[in-house]
Amino acid sequence: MAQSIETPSVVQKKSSVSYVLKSLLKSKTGFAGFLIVIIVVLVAIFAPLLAPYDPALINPTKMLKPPFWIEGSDPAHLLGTDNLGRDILSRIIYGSQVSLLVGISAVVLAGIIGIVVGLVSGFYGRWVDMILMRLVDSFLAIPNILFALVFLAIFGPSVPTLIVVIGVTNWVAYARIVRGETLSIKEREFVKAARTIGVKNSIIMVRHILPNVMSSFIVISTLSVASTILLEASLSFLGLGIQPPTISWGGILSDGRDYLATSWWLATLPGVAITITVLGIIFLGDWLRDLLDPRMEK
Amino acid sequence: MSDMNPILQVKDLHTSFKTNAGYVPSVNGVSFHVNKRQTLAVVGESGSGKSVTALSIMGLIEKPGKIEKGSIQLGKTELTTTKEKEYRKIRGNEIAMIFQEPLTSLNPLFTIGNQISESIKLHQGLNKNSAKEKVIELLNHVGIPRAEKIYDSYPHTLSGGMRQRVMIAMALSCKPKLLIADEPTTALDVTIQAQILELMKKLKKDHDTAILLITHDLGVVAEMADNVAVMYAGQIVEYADVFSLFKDPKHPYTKGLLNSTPKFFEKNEKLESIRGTVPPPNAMPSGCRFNPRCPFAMEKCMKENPPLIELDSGRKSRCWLVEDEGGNKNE
Repeated sequence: MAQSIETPSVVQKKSSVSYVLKSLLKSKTGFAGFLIVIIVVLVAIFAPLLAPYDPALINPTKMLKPPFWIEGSDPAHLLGTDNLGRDILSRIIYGSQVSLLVGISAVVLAGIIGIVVGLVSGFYGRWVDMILMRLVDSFLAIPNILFALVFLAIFGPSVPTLIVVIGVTNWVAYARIVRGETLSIKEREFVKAARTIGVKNSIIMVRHILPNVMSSFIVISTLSVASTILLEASLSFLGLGIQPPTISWGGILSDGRDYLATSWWLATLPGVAITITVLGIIFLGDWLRDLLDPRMEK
Repeated sequence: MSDMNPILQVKDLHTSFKTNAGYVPSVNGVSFHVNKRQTLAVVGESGSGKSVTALSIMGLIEKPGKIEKGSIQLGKTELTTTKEKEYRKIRGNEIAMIFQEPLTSLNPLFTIGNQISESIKLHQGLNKNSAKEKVIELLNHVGIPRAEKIYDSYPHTLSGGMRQRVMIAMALSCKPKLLIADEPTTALDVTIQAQILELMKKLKKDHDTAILLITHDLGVVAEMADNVAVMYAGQIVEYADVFSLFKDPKHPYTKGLLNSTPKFFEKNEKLESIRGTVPPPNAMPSGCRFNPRCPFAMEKCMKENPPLIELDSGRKSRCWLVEDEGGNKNE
């Protein structure tokens, strides 16, 4: 009998903190992602301490100064100044607060709606699926930005409404993916096996199907944090996003668009901040997916 | 063949599936019973309705499928009218099932211990620690070495045979009266098959379980079964105890099945097959359902489907040839 089993790998409790830390240190990208996300979060929290200037402070004597590595820069403004002479570094530091808040909360909100709808739709199938998927189709038929504009025009732009609006317009993508995965997983034999031992439908959904759907969900949702931050930027550009004096990366980016030909750093630097943050979140998400899947263990 | 205390009694079961072309019957008037400590093997080709019969008993026929007629009695409980909520208490507790693919029957994301204890916690209301003790006891019982360690392992670290043992442990966790095994050894290699069959036999003795064994492997039937029901196109075509079935098959289909199994002493002979395939349920031939493939088909076979004719020995066969041998009409 003994020869019929492969040696099981050393078993460790998945839940223990030391296990999680060890796995984080082992994964290079995961660790890098973790560092980036921690740094961005800390910057957002301690923005008032870190920012060298008041981000709204206008200085007409120092307009459109380039960042430090370009000739003609002002040593007092490391990343230069914008068209009103405001310090870009301070604006990026303050902007992280709203961008992270909106980006992450909107994705979480959209994810929760999407997972619930997708699971129920895929699991129960038939008319439930019909109704929910037609609802999804009708959401898809309306362009996101139009939907968001109408909502923001009605409720007035503010950070909470922005989160809700972006969340409510983006859930359809998750619902589709979760539904598709659910459709395939519910036919797997372990779901049938769970039925044969008398497990309730609701528990089968949450305990047996949901964890198997999570890996695709994590990948998609980390990727879409980026598009959410950019959607917020385009809404700001259209004048219905974050209203000044509140600052977001998207806002700085769209402010800088007018000066792209002459002072490219205005739009580029907040773009770089978005890119780095998103990269960090994606790396972290990848690692998290592997952590949650015991088959990925090496 | 005594009817003393059947654990499971299925009478005239009709299960059909709704398609665009209306209701298509998949199981068509199947009756059998399984007694305590007995194994009934249900044999047949793919598409003969074996698995649908098993799922009907488990109450897991999902829409668009439906049990249209008939009765399924477990002990004294009539299952076809049982409400879903009550049924859940029966599943896993009084009837358990193991599947063909032990690889996919376990959720890859949970440890073995976690999955076996799910059933125990559900039906016996034990707390975590006593459930764990019980699980380790069960794992030992089904012959898994180092049970403590396996408890915390994930399914992908186990071999097929080990996984099937785990499935059996899971099925037996609440000492069910009836175990339905749907091709339990098909996906395993031959040496492991023998071990699993041995294990099932031992457990049948230890727990007084009745087994409904679904298979298309006649070797497994010979090894395990007390009685055999041969199914063809949704109907039972022959019912006999295992010895007489192998010695003297009555139905041409059973003969065909036996002939298409390799035999040890007859070398050099070309293995026979039954020509043709099982007709799809929406295009059954008129008369006997086997007639297009039957080497003995007569004119009568084209016109009228024979009933399940009971012979003196208690055997049954759905064939006009048997009638000539002096069988009595049963249905």
